[in-house]
Amino acid sequence: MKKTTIHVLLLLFITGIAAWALPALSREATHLPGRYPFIYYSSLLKELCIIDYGDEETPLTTLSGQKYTEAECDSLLPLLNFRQLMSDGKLPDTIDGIEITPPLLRSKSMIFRYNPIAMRSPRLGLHILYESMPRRVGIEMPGDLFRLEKRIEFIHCETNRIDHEKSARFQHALDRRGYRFPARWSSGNPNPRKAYDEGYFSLDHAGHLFHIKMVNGRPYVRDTRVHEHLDPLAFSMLEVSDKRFYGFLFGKAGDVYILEARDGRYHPVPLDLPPFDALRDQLVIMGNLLYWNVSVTTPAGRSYYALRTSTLERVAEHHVTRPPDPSERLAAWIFPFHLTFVSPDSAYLYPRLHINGPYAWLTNILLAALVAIFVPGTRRQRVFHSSYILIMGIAGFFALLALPYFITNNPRK
Amino acid sequence: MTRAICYKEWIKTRRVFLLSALLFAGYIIYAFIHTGHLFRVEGAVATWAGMILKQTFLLPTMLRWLPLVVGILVSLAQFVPEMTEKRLKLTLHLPMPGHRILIVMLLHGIALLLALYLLSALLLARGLACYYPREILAALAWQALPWFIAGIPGYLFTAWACIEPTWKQRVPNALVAVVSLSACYLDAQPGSYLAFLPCLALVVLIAFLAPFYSIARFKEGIQ
Amino acid sequence: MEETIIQCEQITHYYGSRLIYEDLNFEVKRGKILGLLGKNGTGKTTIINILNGYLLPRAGTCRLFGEEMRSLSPATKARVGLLLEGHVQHAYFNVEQIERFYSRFFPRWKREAYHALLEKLQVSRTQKISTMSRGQRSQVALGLLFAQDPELLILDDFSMGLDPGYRRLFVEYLKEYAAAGRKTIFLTSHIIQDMELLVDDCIILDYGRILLHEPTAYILDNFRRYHLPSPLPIAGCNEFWSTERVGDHWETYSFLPPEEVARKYGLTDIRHERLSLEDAFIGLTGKY
Repeated sequence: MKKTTIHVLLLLFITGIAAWALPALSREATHLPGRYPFIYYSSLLKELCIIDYGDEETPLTTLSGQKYTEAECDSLLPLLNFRQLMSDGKLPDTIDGIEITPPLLRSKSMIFRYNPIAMRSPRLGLHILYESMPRRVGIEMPGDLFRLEKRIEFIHCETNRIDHEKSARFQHALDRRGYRFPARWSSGNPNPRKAYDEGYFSLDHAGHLFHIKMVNGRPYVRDTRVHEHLDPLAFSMLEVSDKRFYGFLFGKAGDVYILEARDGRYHPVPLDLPPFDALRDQLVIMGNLLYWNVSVTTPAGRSYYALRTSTLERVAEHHVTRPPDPSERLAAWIFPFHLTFVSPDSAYLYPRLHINGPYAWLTNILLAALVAIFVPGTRRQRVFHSSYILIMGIAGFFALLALPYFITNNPRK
Repeated sequence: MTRAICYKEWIKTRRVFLLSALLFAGYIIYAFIHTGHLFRVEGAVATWAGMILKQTFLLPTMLRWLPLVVGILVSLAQFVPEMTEKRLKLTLHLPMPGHRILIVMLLHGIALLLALYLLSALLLARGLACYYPREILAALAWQALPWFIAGIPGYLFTAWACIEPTWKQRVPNALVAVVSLSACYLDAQPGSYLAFLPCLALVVLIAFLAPFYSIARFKEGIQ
Repeated sequence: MEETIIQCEQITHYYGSRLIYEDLNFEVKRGKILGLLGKNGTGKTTIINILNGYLLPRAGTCRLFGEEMRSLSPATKARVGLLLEGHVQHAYFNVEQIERFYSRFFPRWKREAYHALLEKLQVSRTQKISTMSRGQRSQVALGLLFAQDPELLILDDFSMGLDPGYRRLFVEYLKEYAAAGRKTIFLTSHIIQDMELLVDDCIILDYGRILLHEPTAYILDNFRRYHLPSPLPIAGCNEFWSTERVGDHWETYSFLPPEEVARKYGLTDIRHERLSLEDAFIGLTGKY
């Protein structure tokens, strides 16, 4: 291969890595994530309130602009601040006519976080199945892990051998309940720090969602039959102490449900939210006895919703556009485009090209002009260098700098 | 003639090759001691679960740098003697097309590295298969794969910088090499590199071409 | 007409902005031993590098056996033996390994020639070249060249760092080798005494140009040092070289025969002497 060809290939390659490394560096140097406000639904004001604990005088502001002091804030948000109110001895007996007790509040409080990265992550293919009714308090580590693909197999950790007897038992239970192999996905919560374990929800080959758990060492397998209502995309387990539901179910149409357990059957109950993109958006739910505070973060901004806990219908909402990030503003001025290998919605690495808007082209023109004027060279070289910078910008400039024959010329080249 | 070039490269690299083999052997032995320790102290269940819950890397972490260090060492052993007293002039004067001489030299180095890497990976996999199921082995392989891949462009970029005739140009070459190689060391879950492999292949390809660029400069007599 | 082995045409080269030479032209015919002489920094090694394709001059081309220096075919490279300045070799080999290595490349490899030369050295077959003295290394390099049996030898400063014994040995071997096989040799050296015994033709380089390209015998026969009485107006006359005033007379050098010098200046008695090549070189290039 000719030297000139390699020179051009190296130039393009270095431009590529500079288009990744330089913006990454500039971002690291200037990145300041825009803070979204913390918004919570006041069960007394019946209104979404912005809470800013940095403001010691008046941490609470309603959307209509009314400000409240810290003590007022505690009282106006009793379901959020019940621990504080309890220690102050100010916990009311009833809210909205419902008698409240600390144990009730505790059992109804939950936090759920969903990150779309979970949908685009490589899966290990091994799962931990805890005993869902442990004899003693707390979850105990089992001595084995299982894989669920073409069949179910339990592998004993100490010996790294398949536990054929247990595997056969579960395989039989799955077969008997009509589970069709190979499995598409299985989702559970392997974190042992929880009160109880509900095992796994697994989508079989036929698109049926099965509930698989271990009760007293024996398999428990049920077809949830949710496919009659929706086309499941993902499931995210959440073991709340009131045991009202198993977790959150995301449909392919952007619908979000909780999977409720009632009379030994599984009922998907929809959350009253606009379509949710489970492959892109983040979801945080802070639930209490009366209301669920839902925030949905999309690349454009964050939407806040308050849902009634009992029916999951929407009672209030608010939208905030994404606060500006200084690193992005800088990037828009100096990098006409950039590459990233990571992204917030996928654990997979691959190059992603971002076009940063028109201003950076002004920088390109300026840089190209400076190079054309000040960097010595033949007419042809100057034309090449400045047009390359015009197209590739600072990344192209660095690539030219990194290779010979830019500043120091070889007249015979 | 190809064999003669390989003979020369072997004479230059045999000591470093032996040293590298010892490094890998030492690592493998330590990896088994480490695994045994984990199983005794933490217990098998906690060790397996650590991989699932926290994605801990179950092997001693110096595996991150070992293939790269070995790649650089082999490259230095091959190309520093060529550049001392400009012996490369003698090499390129051999009655063989210059680019073929360099191809044979580079392939010799790559072959040594691949032999070391594959053998070590195989030994590790065979041994660890007693402790871990195939899913964990696959995850470990995925974690270590980009580090092993880094050894090859590491080797080639070192050759690029070595053969480059001026110190002034070696600095940017090294910088480009460091930035390119850092693409093999991104924080990632096991398997995250799946879609990135074509990019790493591109890095290897460019790194393979780069020494030819230095040779061309060397033959122009740039100082 | 003998075949042209080396041909350089209109070579111009600069290091940065410093001119090394402009429009350099010369050629070397088969069977000639040509010595390239010049003071330090006149670009002797530069020429060797250009000839071998290790330096791209600003302008001009060189050809070896009619092939352009930048793209010598393997067959042509096999016909050229190269000795780098300082007898550089692949020093990580030992005596036997290096022979084994090179033998694979050259179809006419003469193993005996190498070993015959090496037997005279006090080295074992497994001694590494890096542990040898400069003189021993020069013999290894020479032995390899003889075994390669090339038609053209290019030797860059072969006498560098050698003691008189090794230098003499080197010159004798070379002379014998060249005479036996009608080889062409292109060499540079600092030590001009050695050249006198060896070279057929001389190129004397000055800064930026060739000062002289003549057969050695012609220089030795015709170039003389003259001692002339002082009031003569010879300074500035281009037939005289390195004219210096020494006491009450001129010391100068010229290719003119004594009779012509005498006639030119109307002198009856002039002192003149024949010169060694080294003196001639100094006469031509000056002491500084």
